[in-house]
Amino acid sequence: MQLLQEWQEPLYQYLCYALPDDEQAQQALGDTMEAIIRSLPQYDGDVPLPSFLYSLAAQRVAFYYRKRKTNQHRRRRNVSGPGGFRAVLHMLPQRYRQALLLRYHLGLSVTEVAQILGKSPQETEMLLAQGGRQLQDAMGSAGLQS
Amino acid sequence: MSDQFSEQDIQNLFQQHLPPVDLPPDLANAVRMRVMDEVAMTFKAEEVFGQAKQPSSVLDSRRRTVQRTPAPRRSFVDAMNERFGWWRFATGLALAGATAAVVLLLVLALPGILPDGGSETTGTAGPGAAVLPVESVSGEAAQVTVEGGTATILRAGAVLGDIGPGGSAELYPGDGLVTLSGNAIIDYFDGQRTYLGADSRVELLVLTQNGETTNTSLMLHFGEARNEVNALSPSSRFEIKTPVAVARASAGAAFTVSVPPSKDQTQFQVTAGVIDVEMDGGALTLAAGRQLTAVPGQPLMAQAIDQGESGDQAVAIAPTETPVTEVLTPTPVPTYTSVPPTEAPTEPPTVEPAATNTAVPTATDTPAPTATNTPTPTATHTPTPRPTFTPTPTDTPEPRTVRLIVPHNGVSGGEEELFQWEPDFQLGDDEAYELIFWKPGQDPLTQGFGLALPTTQTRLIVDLQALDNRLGGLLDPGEYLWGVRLVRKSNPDERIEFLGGSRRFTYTTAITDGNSGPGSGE
Repeated sequence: MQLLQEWQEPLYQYLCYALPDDEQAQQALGDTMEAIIRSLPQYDGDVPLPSFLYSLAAQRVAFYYRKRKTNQHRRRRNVSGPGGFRAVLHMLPQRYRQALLLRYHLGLSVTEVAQILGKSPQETEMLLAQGGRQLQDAMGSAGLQS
Repeated sequence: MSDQFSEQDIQNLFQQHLPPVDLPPDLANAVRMRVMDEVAMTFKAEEVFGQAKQPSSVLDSRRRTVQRTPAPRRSFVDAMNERFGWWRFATGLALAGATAAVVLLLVLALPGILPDGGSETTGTAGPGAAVLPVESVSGEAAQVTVEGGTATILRAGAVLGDIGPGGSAELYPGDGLVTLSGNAIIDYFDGQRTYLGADSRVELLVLTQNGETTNTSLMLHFGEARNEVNALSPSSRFEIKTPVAVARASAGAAFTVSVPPSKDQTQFQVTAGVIDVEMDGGALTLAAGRQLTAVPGQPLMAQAIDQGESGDQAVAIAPTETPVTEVLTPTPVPTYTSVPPTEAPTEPPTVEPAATNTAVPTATDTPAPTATNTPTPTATHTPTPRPTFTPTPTDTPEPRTVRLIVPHNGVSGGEEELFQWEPDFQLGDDEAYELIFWKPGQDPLTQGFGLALPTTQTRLIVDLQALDNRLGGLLDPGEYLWGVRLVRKSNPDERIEFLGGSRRFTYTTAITDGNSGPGSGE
């Protein structure tokens, strides 16, 4: 329980910006917490605990976007209006957004991000580099200054 | 903006534009509630089955997590107090918190108390063994005895355990019982018994006794239940409910209730005594030798038991007549296991010798034979045999499949459903099953959506209604196919293989059957 109390705030931080709105983030936080409870028995310490926990949250994010795929274009159009950096962030494909958030918002290492996203460190480096470029382009398109 | 962002630039952007977000207090409470439910459900199942295959490693990991903040050594009680103290702050959650604490305490203490759980789906009783631990349940209990095959008891939203051939266990109100390949006998009070056929699911709704007055109510979700009510005081009640109707027995009644997987009708057959059948506010008394099929929207009509089809023998109530053989016939299902196409060696085409122009003798008036033009055989082209391409045999990976057990094809449901399958292979270290739904016509491997997190277990209870609330438009009432997909445990997005399935399942909104039993019991 202490574990859950300790981690719900950081996980919420991540989910808030990884998902398009707070409502989704709140739903995903509950789902993630349930997933943690269910998955703890399988946790064998192969990866650090934060990576394990964030990976469960990342799965919820991926799951959300998978099921919302059909609505994604509409959502993207919606966020292309005013909304600042967060809206721009949501114009990126979710794999880039997830990688960028984990690396630059949560300050995790590339190795940790790789563990969470289930990719190799090299792939993760590439994701981050491409994500950074796409972010820069998106900011330019939206008229946002860095 | 023309220069590419550096790492520092991006970091600054995130820090500048994405401020910390406060966790709304009501959200924290809501999450706590969900966690409490999940803890109770998950750890209860874990406690019963020893599902944590390496309990010590699990506990180690939990200890590691608790020790993230170094703290002085405390007594166990202090540690538990601290661990659960957080919950005390939640108004109205004190009772629930205590429950969770007890459950967690049990979990923490279990490795030292119980033997290693072994296989996560075992727990099958040996012959005659009373195997299932009694949870914190009270009141009357029915006795379940399994004949052949296995049956599963469901309690409080979790699989409590399997009962093997000859095994027995107690069934409490609220408990569910699913017979897979086996048959079960449920003994309630003296002289009251139900023989449950294979592939059936029941839930004990009520079982009470007050002096001579007994009250027994069983919900038959699907399958077949043959009931003997030899003893029943005038003030007592014995009833079998189904999704569409309810039957109340009088003393001396022997009757069979059958619900098809679609749950849209119920057949009652009476072989002794009398029962009352109610549906949609209407009621009909059914005497021995009579039967009826209750279909919502249609009047209740009794008729004689068809001797030709069902006959006395088919409806006789005797345990020996319960089919003991395996009824669950694996449905052959197409699997998506890729098998490299094997190129069949082909013979070189054989060219048939061409017909030669043979003159036909013409009959003439002159009996003397006329010289006829005898054709010279024309040389025909005989192809020279050429070496043919013989494909080198390649290693064909063994197709891995699962046999779906429950729900059966065509079942409908809208609440908690038990999904169970049986693999014909061993999971790899980094592999897990994912229970999926997909729409007819879709590719299950790529378009199926998971109903739960990937698991190494071979059965799951899914609360479809809760899932619907979470998934939104992805899971709407309608017809789906269900099956099992193999995914990478470390990366569930990596779908390895579709393991087979394709049983139809109709998701409906909650079935209103008019009964108000104490939960689903699963």
